[in-house]
Amino acid sequence: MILIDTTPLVALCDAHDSKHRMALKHLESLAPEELAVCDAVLMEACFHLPHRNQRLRLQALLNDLSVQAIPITYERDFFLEVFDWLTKYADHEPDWADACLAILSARDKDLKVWTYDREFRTTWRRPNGTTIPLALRSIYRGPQP
Amino acid sequence: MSSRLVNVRLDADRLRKAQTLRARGMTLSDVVREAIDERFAALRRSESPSDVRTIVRRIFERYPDPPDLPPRDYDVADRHAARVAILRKLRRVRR
Repeated sequence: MILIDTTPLVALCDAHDSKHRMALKHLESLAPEELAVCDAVLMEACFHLPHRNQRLRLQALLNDLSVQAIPITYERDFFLEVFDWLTKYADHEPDWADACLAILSARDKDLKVWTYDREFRTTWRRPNGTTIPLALRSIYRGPQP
Repeated sequence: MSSRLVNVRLDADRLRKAQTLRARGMTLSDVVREAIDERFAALRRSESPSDVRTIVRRIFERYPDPPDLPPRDYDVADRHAARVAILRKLRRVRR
């Protein structure tokens, strides 16, 4: 299962986004996998896609590509783990959605995260210190620091 | 991940097959899970890359940007810029 982060989701829904074409290309390669999204990512995406039609595109994309919702994020243990993770990485100022993706990755070893945030390669780890599997590790290297 | 119980009705023939599988040490729930994964993957594979592009193109045709929509003035992948933009919006909403 591929867990979509905010950056590719927004890029797919906004043709003016600098990563739109790249995200489309990546979607082509990832579409055979099961795609999923958590509510923290959707909330961030709505911040970056404020217009009605942008959000309708987001809704249509989730529907037409059969993107699954991750319901586990409403469990008490889950958000306590998210807070622990946020505390651990506080010096790097992570967002709630980053923490959700890290914890979800820890809970399901088969999950891979589709993201354009370089911190997932360089900084963020699962709570046990292992790397977070990325869907595009071999494809996207991101901007140089 | 949380899970949900799903009951599956089996006719006599499939029940016999299921009993044979179980007798050979296979867990029926694993058989069902694997069958679902395989069917889903096959369904996804049947949707070619061009289908995905077509899906996205149609979505943009259905819901185009209005001509007066200003382009975003920050890069979403730039963590700092995105955070500043969100804070800016929150402050605007509070006023």
